[in-house]
Amino acid sequence: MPGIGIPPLEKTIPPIVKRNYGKWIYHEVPRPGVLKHVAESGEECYTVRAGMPANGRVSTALARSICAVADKYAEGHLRITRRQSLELVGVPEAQIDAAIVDLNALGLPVGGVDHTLHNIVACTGWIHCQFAATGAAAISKALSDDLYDIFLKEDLPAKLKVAISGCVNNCGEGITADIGVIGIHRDLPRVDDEKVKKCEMALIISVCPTGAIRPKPPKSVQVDPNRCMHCVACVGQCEGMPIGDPVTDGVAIYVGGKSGNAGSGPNFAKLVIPYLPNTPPRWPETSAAVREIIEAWVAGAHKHERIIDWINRIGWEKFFEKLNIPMTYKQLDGYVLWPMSSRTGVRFHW
Amino acid sequence: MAGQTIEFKGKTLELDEDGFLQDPDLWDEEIAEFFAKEESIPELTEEHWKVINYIRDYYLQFGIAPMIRKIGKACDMPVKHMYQIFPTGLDKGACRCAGLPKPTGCV
Amino acid sequence: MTTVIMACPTCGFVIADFTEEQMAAEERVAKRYQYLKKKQTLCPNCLIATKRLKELRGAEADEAKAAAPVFSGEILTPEEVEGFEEAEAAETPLLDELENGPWPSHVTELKKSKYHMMMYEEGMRLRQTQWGFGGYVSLPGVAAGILVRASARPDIARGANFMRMLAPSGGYYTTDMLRTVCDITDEHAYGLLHLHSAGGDIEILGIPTEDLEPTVKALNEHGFDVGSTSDAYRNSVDCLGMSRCDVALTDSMGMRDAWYKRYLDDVQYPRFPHKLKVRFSGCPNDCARAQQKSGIALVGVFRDLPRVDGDRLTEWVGRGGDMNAIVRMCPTRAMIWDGKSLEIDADSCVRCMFCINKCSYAIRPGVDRGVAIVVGAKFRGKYGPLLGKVLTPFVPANPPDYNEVFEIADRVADAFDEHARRKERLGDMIFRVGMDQFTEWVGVEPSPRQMAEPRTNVYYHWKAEELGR
Repeated sequence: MPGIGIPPLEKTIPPIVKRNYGKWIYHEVPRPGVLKHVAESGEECYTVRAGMPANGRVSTALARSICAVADKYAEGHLRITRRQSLELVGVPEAQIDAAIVDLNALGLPVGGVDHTLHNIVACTGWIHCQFAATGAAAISKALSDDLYDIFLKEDLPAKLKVAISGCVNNCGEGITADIGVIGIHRDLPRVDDEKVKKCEMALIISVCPTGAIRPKPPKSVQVDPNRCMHCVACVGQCEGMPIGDPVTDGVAIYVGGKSGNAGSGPNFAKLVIPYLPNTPPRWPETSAAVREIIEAWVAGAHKHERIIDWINRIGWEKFFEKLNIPMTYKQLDGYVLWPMSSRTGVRFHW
Repeated sequence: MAGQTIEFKGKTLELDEDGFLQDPDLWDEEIAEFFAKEESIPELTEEHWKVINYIRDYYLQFGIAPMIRKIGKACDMPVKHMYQIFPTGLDKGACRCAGLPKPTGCV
Repeated sequence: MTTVIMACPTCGFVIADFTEEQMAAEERVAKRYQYLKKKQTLCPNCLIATKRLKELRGAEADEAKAAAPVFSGEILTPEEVEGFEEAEAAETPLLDELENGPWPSHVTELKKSKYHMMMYEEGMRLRQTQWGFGGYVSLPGVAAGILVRASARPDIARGANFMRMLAPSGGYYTTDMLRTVCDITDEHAYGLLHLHSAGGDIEILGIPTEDLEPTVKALNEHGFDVGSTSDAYRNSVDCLGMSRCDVALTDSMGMRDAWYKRYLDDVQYPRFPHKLKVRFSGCPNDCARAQQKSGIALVGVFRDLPRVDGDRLTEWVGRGGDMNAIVRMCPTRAMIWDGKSLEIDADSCVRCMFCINKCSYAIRPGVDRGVAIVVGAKFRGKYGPLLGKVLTPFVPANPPDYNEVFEIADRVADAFDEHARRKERLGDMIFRVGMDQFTEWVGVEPSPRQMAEPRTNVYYHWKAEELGR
């Protein structure tokens, strides 16, 4: 029963890491997908990074195969990164080629280090989620296929992170990435009076950010279509408020998120394309939009410039111009925090 | 699994699929004891009653289950201890015994 | 009793096994057997590895493609789909399409497990999730860590329980540990791992209700624990910190370990008004995305200047290192570089780590290190996504118990607990009450480093005792 906590650190980290814990002095990227860290002692630690299936969904069969590879090359240790990719830490230099061949044989491409596309993070989407407005994992797979050539090489101006969230809850962290695809609902939650009756009504009403939900006597709620902005807050509180809709759901494209303080500092990605339709199985419109953004960035950016650094330099108006993205009222912010994204002053890029 | 109806001491009680009372007004102390047995609580002690009565009063007043910190403060118990005396959890065990509808929520 | 084992002729991987009994009792199983027998000769892994997917499936794959993507505009509700049972055993054309392409396919992985493919296929076909309302499940003694998601399509599959297992620090596993998790997943659940979910836990999907307790027991026996649901501290996420990073300033993995030793009860016994996330980042690069996602972000910082090693810098530039590109990108133009020596202007530098990241060989972070506490970041809720706000710019980080840091974090949690409304996130609460009020509640000294700039209004509250009457 609970009370155990997390596995002890000493047991999980590989021996080479234990020997040099906190004593690393520099790193290099000798080839795409491989990191070399050098410690004070002069010891070199090679890490091979590989992409994983979308959403980090791994069957036990593949997990066991990965374990076998890790046993062979990394002294029985492996690491799952914060971006759902796989790392073998401490592969001997002479065996890097063999390790890459073995990982490739499992279907796992090696790449995603430094100035390139990193493993695409996605939430579970339609695999197993009640909120999902889009099949996030499927979009991730489609985009990964499409951008495969970029992942294998290492020749972008700076690192590129792409993430897919199935809804505005952002479990897939789409809003933190350089390019985020976020599923959006556009229709109202459908109130099922019978089921709402059983829920805590006060809670449903209080979680609504815009006060769009009001009591409907005797014991149900109604949603004000003029105020609802489809944030799914109520959906999680009561069984009687499902929101998904096959025709009107879709995705929005966000650009320019970044979590590090280097350069322009941490920021969320911004809404660029308010709506693209859901088109399973491969979402070609979304794929095309993402590729266009990447191409424009590669063409315009200086070395070391993340997408947001590039946009900060050329201005959002130039970005919209370069990509021919039609401007609608939706891109102008009208929600509570709108003054933060409105321009003051008359300094324009023309 | 659909809801069920049980006969209890001459009352007809409608339960939802998780065994929560549909109509909080029908609650009485005997029902609480009956639910407690199902929630793996062998006997309702004074401590249990303190929690149950507080939750129930709060619900009748505000129409919402109280926050756990509030329960702890009002009943003067550490949170972990409350989870120990209601092994199936405060949201499920305690609220069910107090005759509240099932507290919902995910994510 | 006869058992049919369908194994991959190349690698011997058992694709599925069926007993005669099962097939006689359950039509679904029999159909799955017929389907596999008809369709697959190799296991999906080998299919991809040998890149013979096309030849092996040939016409079928083309058919599926032709049938799949065009959207006719006609959408059937589940009730309108006739003869659904046939569809179950027959085709998953939309998903099969996702098995093509060079990237490893999650669909292939799902197919190797006991996951109900038709729930996903129908989701893709109807363009809507087929899963229904979710909630938490508690077992006697297990107050957090188990969730359930109902099925909106009971004709295909029942709802499924899933469990959140706390992942080890830094995401490091021994292969033995991962194999153990695989064994448990195979025995009790779908045989499918989620490495990792956004909260930094392994989600084990598809545990039958009667198997929940044995699963927790099995995990516990092998030193794993569950938690991270409901209104508690969620599983904390860390970067890999000093374990294999040359720019890490604080030991984020060690800090997470210390956190779990101190706050495990608060992770496993929900008590807050809403969830609260804690993340540990070893340096301002914030690989754990703490400043964007966690209520309490503990980010490693340093106060003195980056240390420049002149000799190594000369060597690095001699090898072709492009110093000019780095100097140009310095956000505050704090670097003075004349082609030979580098100086960093102490007043201008904001310790953003940009130069250190690009040339850690010669430029190293300073040695006066500690933790900045940033509070209130979140994605969802009342005011939409909010970035974390600086609560205190520097707290010394002293291992092994990090008392100074955790004490302030403790007071943040208490203020949240005391003042937030039910189902209100910390970020929303701070937005509602203001940073002045919140800082006072927590009881840290106000600092100019908390502000982007001073306020422009004078609409603040003087208390009677401050008036000096």
